[in-house]
Amino acid sequence: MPLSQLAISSTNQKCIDMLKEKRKNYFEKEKDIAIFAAIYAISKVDLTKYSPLDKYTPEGGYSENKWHLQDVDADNFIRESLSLFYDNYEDQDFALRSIVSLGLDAIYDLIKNKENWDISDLL
Amino acid sequence: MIRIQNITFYNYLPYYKEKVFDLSGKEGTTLIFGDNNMGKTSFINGIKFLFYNTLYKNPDNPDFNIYYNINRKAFAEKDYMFFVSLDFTYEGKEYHFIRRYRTKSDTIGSPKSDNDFEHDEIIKEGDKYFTERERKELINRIIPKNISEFVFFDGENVKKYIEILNDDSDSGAENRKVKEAINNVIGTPYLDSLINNLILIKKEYTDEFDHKLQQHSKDEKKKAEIEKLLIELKEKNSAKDTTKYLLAKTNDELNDVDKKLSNLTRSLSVYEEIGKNQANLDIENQNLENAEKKLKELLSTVAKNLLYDKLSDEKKRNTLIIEKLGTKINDEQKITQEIQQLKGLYKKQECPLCGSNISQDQEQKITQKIETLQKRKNEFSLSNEERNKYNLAKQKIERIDNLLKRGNVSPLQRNNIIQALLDIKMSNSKINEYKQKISRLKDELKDEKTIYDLITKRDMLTQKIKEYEETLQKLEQEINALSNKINNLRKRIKDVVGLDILEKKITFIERIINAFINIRENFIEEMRSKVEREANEIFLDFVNGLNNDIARVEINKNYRMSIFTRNGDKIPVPGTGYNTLLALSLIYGLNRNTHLFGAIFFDAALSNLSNNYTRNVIRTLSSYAPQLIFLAHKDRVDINDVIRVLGGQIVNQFEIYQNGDAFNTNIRRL
Repeated sequence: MPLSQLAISSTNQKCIDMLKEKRKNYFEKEKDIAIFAAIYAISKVDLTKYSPLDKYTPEGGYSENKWHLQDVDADNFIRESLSLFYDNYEDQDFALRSIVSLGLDAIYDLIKNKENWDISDLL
Repeated sequence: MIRIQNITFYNYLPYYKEKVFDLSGKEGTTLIFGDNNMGKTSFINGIKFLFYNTLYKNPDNPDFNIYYNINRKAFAEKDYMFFVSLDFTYEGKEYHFIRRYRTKSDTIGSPKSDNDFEHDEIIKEGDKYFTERERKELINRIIPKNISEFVFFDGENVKKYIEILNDDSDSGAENRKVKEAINNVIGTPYLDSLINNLILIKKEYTDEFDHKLQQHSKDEKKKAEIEKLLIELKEKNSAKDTTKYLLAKTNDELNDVDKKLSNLTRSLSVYEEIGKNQANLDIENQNLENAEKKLKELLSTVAKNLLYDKLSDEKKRNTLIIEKLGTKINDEQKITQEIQQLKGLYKKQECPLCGSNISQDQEQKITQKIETLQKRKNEFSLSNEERNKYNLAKQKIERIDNLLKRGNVSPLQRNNIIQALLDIKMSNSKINEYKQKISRLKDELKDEKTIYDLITKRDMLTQKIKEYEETLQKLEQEINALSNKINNLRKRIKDVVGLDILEKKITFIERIINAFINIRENFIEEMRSKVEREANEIFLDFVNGLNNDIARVEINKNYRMSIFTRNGDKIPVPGTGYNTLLALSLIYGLNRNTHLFGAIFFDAALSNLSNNYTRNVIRTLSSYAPQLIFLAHKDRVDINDVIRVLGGQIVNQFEIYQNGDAFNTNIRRL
């Protein structure tokens, strides 16, 4: 069954909350956070460790449907970029869900204990 | 003009035994300096003691004030005499003036009260001793007590003047005292008393007139009319007195409010500081807004741009693959071409260049060459895997270019983002700083409500004063109209003998009174204008080179002074330092316009003036006064600086000091 919604874990939500709390003008909407997280995962996380990527399930599982897939990657840019660097998946939509979650986890690991973090820590 | 030759203290306060300040010689400035408690104030008070017999009061024993004025060391040594004496010239004559206290000859043992002392006041001109009346007259002529303020420029007097400067009303006890003194200098009390006497004479004639009228006239109708008008006049006069009283009272209240307001000047400057910090805060808020806007702009593309480096690296990596495999392909293509050429030669049997036949030997060589080239070609040939890799790289580059173009991906402006973040941090930190400052300053403004209340009260009182003044003016007009009416009626009564003579007398006195009132007003105005001119001149010298924006000072009818800038703007609240300068200018202006002009004793507190202003004040006073006796606090005034500033103007220099003995001040001439 094709994927239409992107879901996240409860830890992912904590990360979103932290990003939102920090500065309202880092990201205008929550879906911008999803885009950033997915690209963050492609550029900063070694995704080969999570093969098959489309089958990845975060700790505690996906607990909440958050965005429409088409809202996050309307022009297919993220999925196209992912396919340039990785091929350890079959379904690109599920892979997108995975990388959003993995990106949020990676960001969360970086900022959760850092009091004075800012966006430059993620660049 | 008074000129002091020398001053002698004998057992007066800290001056043990005889201590002489010899000021004879050239005219100019005498500098007397010393530490605290060495005898500077006692010096000034000694002069006041000499002229006015002012003794310090003994709080422990009111019957024995002398004990608080005599040198304690001398007293302990049973030397019970103390005096201050002065040799001076006045209007070309030389005088010796001494005031002395010593125990009466019948005092047994140590004195116990002022009664055990006798007091001498001696003034001599050559061999001539002055009588008590002559002494009194001379003292009053030289420095009358009530106007000594214009000779002694000491902290206490300057303070009094600062009070008057802050007071625009006619009332206030201290204010009245000082203004009374100013009027004394100007000489208005003589005119006032003359006018009052004339008014009394006029009243006597008017009473006599009315009495005769009531007694002898048969014109009952007019008499009744006059009687009625007189009652009305009395009521108006009574209303006038009440209004005058209310006006004075309201002026007193306004005076108090102004005093309180001037004490709250710190609060006004706090308001100003809050305003400045608020302006800075507004600017910083704007900076923050700009930096946040810029960051937002940069972050709007940050996600895709985050991939730029990775995509670029990937493109480079694939380009390298293509370059590397591409060389191999090129080499292979070259060798294939060469083989083709050789094979062509082989077929034609004659050289296309020289046209000779190809020999068998040559044919063999070509075959060998082709074989060698074939071997090399095999080495360069891409494997299937390599060919796939090459194709894949080509595809990837195409896809990357496509992504970069489609996603509008550009290099991540990391440095700009960091800069915007730093700008935000900086602005936030400044904003916090300004907010804290404002909050601290607001804490200081606990009197804010008080100021507001005082300003409201001031407005209300000013309005009331205006109303009272209008009422007074109206009453004055009504009284004048009634008086005229009564006078006219009186003139129309013809049946009483002698009334016409009385009437003429009354009219004549009225004319004289009006003439003197005019003289008094013109005289006061003329004096005010003269004092203003002198005060203005010296004030501009005080600020010369330090504040060139000041154009002039003005003195109003109540001797309140205002400072105006070159643009004609009035400085609303001069600082304490400037008030000191204004006070000194006013004292000088008054001094200069009276017969007192001559020696000036200057012991004014200069602590609220900067070094530059202090220098200007000393320099100016020294050049203006024919004889300046300047008492300086060693720690407050840089003595070397004073000497440098005044240069040749200093004719005498004394240091007063003590060697660990508080009752033995010594004088060292330098």
